[in-house]
Amino acid sequence: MSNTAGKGAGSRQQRRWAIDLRNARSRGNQVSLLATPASLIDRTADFQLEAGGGDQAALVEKRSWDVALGPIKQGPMNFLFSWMAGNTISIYSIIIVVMMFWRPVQSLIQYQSVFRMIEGRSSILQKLAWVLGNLALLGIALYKCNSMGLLPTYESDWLAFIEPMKRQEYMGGGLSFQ
Amino acid sequence: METEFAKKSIEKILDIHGESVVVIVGNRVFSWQSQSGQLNWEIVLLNKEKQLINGYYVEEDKLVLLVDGERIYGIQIQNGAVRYRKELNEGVVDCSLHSGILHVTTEKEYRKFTVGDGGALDATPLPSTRCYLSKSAQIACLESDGVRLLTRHLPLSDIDSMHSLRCGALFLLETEASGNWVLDAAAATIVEAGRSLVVGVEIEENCVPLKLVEKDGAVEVRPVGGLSSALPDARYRLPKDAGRVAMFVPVITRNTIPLLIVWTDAKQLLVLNTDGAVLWRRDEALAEITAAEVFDPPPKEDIEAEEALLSGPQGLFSSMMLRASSQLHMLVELLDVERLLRVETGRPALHRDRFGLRKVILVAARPNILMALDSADGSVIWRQQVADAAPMSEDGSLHLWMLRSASHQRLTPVAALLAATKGNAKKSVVVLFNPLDGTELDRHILEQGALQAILAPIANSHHLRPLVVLDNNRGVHVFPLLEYSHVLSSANRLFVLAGQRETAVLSGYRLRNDAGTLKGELTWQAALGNDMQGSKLLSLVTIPANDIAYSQGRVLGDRSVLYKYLNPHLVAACVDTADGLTVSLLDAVTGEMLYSTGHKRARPPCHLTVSENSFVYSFWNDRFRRTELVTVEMYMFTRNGSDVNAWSWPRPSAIERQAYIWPDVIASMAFTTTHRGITYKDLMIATQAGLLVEIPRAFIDARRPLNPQPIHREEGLLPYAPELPLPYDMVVNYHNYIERTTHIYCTPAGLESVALVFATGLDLFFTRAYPSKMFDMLKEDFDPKMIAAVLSAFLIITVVTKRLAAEKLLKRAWK
Repeated sequence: MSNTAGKGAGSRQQRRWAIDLRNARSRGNQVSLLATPASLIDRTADFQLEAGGGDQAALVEKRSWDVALGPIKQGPMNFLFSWMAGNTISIYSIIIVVMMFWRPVQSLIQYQSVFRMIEGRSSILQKLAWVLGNLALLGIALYKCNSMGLLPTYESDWLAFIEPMKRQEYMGGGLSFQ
Repeated sequence: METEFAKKSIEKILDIHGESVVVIVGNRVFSWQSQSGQLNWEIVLLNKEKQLINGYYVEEDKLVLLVDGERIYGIQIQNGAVRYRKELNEGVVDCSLHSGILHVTTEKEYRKFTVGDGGALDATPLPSTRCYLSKSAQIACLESDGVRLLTRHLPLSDIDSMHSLRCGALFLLETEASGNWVLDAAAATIVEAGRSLVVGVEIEENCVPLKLVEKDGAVEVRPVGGLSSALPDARYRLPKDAGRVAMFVPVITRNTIPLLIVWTDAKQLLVLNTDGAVLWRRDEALAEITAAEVFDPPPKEDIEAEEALLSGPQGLFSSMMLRASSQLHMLVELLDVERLLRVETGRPALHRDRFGLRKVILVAARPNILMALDSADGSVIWRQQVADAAPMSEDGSLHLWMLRSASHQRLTPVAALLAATKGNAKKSVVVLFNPLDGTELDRHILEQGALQAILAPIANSHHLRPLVVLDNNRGVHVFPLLEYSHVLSSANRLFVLAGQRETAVLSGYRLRNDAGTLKGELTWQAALGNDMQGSKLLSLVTIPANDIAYSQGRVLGDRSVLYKYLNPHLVAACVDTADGLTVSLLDAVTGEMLYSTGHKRARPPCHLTVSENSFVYSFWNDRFRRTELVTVEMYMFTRNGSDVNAWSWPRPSAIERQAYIWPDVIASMAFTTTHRGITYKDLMIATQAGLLVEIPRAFIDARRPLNPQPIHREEGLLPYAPELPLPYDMVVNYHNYIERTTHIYCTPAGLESVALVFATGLDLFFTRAYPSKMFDMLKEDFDPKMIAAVLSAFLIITVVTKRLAAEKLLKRAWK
């Protein structure tokens, strides 16, 4: 029931209702079904891409830089989020902080797929920029943790690990019995 | 003050028809309503206290007659007015009220008075200075070779004392050589009564002297001699641990004695009946407890106990035998065979319960009584009278230590009692016994008398901590004796502190290993009092061994730390100088004084108690007439070094102190403790009014600020207010007032959130305190079965409906 006629499937024998204009010129000595109109000016040469041309290198470079600077572009958004989260500890703030913390960690873990996308001359620099960008995001998250008081920066946070002073002498007694 | 009055004893009680009760204490006479306890009247006779000879109630004139050493008083029963007061110019020897006339014998004369107005009737001279009157006013005079009655002279040698038997014409004569004799002055006969106790009772209008004969727990009451044989012999059984009978009162109906009320020298009151049963029994020695130790009963035989048993170094065969016997014990418990075998006592086996809340309380009471109480219901597990022991002469105390607890399988627990010997108060006796059943294990007499004693810090291989006693000659004794070498090895780390009450001098001794013998060496002395005027050392407390601080500092509002100054060698002393009180804090190993303060116009009682880095003391401020409570806390700003000896121990950087006003008079104070120290420590205060109050630490904090800043609120400090509140929901004992509390013992329980409190005094009180609420126990309405049932129901329903839904979808797809 379905029409199985493809582009070149036994098309010479059957009636062709699709004309492939692309290869018409290159197959010069083949039978051309249509002649070109008289007023046609051939500008196809202008639009042809050269494989491995200089423009292509620039585009690759551009794309790599886009990927490398991706994390840094997220920075301002993170700042906005951390300002929204506030300094107290509530469920909303915890969610935001955890999210801010987890995203750069997750992308750092998946560095391989990103590094595959970065190619070109200054790929080392771009890779470094990407890593630094993620670390900067982490830094913002840590700063948020610090300002919420979650980091053990004060002496009182280490109080539980202080050992009691050991005694070397033993003493006993009280009011004398007699 | 109340405490001085409390030491007097009641000399006479008169029951006025069950409506009111007249009580004579010293030189005061009280009358209370019998039903309501309301005081009717109270009078003071004269400032000088004379020994009361006797007191009578005269029905017709509604008078109370009192005869003391020199006077006769007639007091109206209605309003306590003294109707008359007669001075007798000689000392009164004896008196008797008979047929409306008061008969009095003095050293020279025999006089009679009318009771209505004290008028003298007549006076006759007496032949000797010691003449006594019987109840029916017969005179008998004691002479060197016998007894002289009005008409006759009865010879008897070596009479020590004579007194009337309060019945008819009977007297009791006590001789050292030949026991007791009963004199019937009317019939002029003397009958021998042996060495038994004698009581005179009235049976059918006759006065019969009865004697009590004790033999192997069987007690018999018989008439003396052949004076009356109308009474059948009455036999009773006295329990073995009741001691010897000191006084007895037969309850007589017709001419039988169905009940016998007995007071023993072990301070027990028993009522015995002729079937050999004890109707009821009271241990009055519990009112005179001087030392108490609370410990865990032995754990049940179970897998954990078995593992603990086998954890030590053992050979192959012995560990196999241990495992086999442990399994056998467990089988026996499973089948509850023990319950069948233990028919006699009817008490459930003494085992630890699941949370370690059931304890055995071992107490030592005056004069020489040891008892163990079950903390579940306060019943007495065993009682024992320690032979040849007496309270220490200094303060009448006995001392207890637990050398080995009952937590170790197969090792009997050992406790030690230190007391003075009965004959000679200068010598001491140390008795080692098993605190689970009172059997005596060992006993030693210290010729020099004990000065102080400490428990050795390190237990030997059998988990026993020897008791090290320093005697008055600086000799050192170790009990049990076999542990001498064990203590010798650690001798140079042991220090003993002794404080003299009368001179307020503290002495620190060091134990020295002197070529194989232990010797005590005096290292420091501190004279805390004022030499010019007399000073007395009132109380001395050291940090208790079970006082553990879980957190080493306090977190302040700005998240910095104020470290607690935790010195395990601290000792606090309170000295009563002539013009006030001095409280000092010393390090007992080096003798260095860390803190000292004086309170002018402060009076005892001074109660001191220590916990972690703070100590709290209370005194009576005479200027403002109120009780004040002072908290002193010691802190360090930095912590460095962890393993130092006492001489390099840091000093406190800051000592904070604050005083508060307590609205009552304090009888005793103590801090609660727990095993790990995580729970807060509340202060238990027993007031003189009978309340036991639990005060949270926050109220008596020394850092409560006068002008609170936000940083203080951050820390959680209440603003300072001088009065301590006494809200009634902090009173632990509700309306069960406990009278005359002398000491509060606080012990940890198996659960961290529970602290056990035991208050002794005239009344005993045992309770659990929850200073941080009950954070480690599920609520009672937590129903695990219900939750499990609901969960499993949900699971089943989920699986079933999933299956059903899949089937339905499939069916629909096939349509």
